[in-house]
Amino acid sequence: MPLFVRRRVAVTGIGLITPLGIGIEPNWLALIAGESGVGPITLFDCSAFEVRIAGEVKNFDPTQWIPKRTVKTLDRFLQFAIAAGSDAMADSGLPPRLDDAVAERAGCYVGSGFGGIETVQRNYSSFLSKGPRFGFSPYGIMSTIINLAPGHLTILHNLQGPSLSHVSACATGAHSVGEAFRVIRDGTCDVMLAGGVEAGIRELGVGGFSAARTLSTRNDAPQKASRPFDKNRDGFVMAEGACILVLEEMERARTRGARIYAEILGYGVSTDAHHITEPAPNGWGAQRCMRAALADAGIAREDVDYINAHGTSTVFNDISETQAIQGVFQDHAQRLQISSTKSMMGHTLGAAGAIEAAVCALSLQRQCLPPTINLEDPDPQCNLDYIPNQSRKRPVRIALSNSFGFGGTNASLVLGKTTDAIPL
Amino acid sequence: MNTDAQTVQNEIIRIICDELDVEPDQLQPATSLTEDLKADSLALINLVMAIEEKFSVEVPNDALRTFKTIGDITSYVETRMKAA
Repeated sequence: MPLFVRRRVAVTGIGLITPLGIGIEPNWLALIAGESGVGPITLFDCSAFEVRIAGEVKNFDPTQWIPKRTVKTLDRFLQFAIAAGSDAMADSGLPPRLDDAVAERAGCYVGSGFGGIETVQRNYSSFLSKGPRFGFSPYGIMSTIINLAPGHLTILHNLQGPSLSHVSACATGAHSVGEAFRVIRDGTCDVMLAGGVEAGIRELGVGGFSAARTLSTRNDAPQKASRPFDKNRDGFVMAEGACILVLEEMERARTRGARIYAEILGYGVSTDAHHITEPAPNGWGAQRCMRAALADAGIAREDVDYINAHGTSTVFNDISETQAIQGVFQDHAQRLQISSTKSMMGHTLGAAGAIEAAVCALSLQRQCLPPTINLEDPDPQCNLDYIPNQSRKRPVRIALSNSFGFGGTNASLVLGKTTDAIPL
Repeated sequence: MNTDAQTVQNEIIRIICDELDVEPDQLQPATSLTEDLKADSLALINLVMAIEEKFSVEVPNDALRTFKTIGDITSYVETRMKAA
């Protein structure tokens, strides 16, 4: 292999489990129709909580992917990971278990923000009532630790290359996809399963975020609560879900006749080094991150058509991200089309960056852009085109996806249209 | 609890069915835990813990390692309960 080769990377499979639906088409239809997946919390008794809304995955039956006796031993986040991974592999047209010849050059980067929070809660309360001898499940640790997501996926699909979990809060999914992209680009692997998973809608998750006053309390109108860039936003809405992508070296994908959603062109990272929850002033960290992604992709700022914003619906992020976009794109900023799909799903935390990469890939394949819903009264400080309320069929060549995590960790991905795109 | 051998056996069978999602009629004394019921090491530990809790017996590691069949588990528990 020549020393400085940069191979091209295709997205050939998508597994998507979100509050909008299970599978690509239910999600895509809901995104384009501007539907909301947010509703009252049903996953635990939240009647005494100040926040009683979230984006829950509906009608998830894990036995569709996993034998019943194994389901009992798996936290919900692992059930999501296995289901999304299995769907992604099936979608890619690759065999469910890779041949040994391929397996050594195939890896798995799947992360999560919390991991098995429900299992932690269950084991701890069981310990409090039964004591240490019988209070803990032998499966407890294996169902809690985040890297058991790639743990299970590599066994199921025979992936023998690098496997690990990136953990960077709301940037987890983007870091997972970006690092997997690098692994293929740089020649270590030909196939990577990459993405993020989150199932944190439990007492610890909701209670914790609520105590930090980061969540919307719009309990009487759940579907209106996630309103990025709107003047009346009051915090983000927690959500759960998973997205796993199959990334493949481009020539290999073309040779086997794979359907290619989009190409990953670049990946940029940065850190604010400022505050654990507040963004750096003027979105300086986000600016450096976006510039790095554009430089990595080798494209000019004028080449970007669409940005899938981090757009959490918090007071801080939405202004800061707007400033960052203006800072990077200058005169081109007003020509950009930008949307936050968190307006529809809520904030899926560790899964968000991967879900949003998939949304970009689908937008590029289908030449259609999802909206920011609930944008009824735009914040004057958020004065860009955020595709309010209605999706748009438009030519899209290049998409940028932003993810900014608590702790000040940032990731941006650049994706491009391929010849497989469906004509307008 | 009733330490009658049949009761002990029925209860063990119930626990195994519950943990491994199998039907009672699939289970004989000679049924192999690993070969027939596909129980891996963690599943076995989990199963034994439920049995320890139910019958208030202790199954140390060296004993657990000798369990190959359902009959091995039942006789172990019956012996421990007679000794108690």
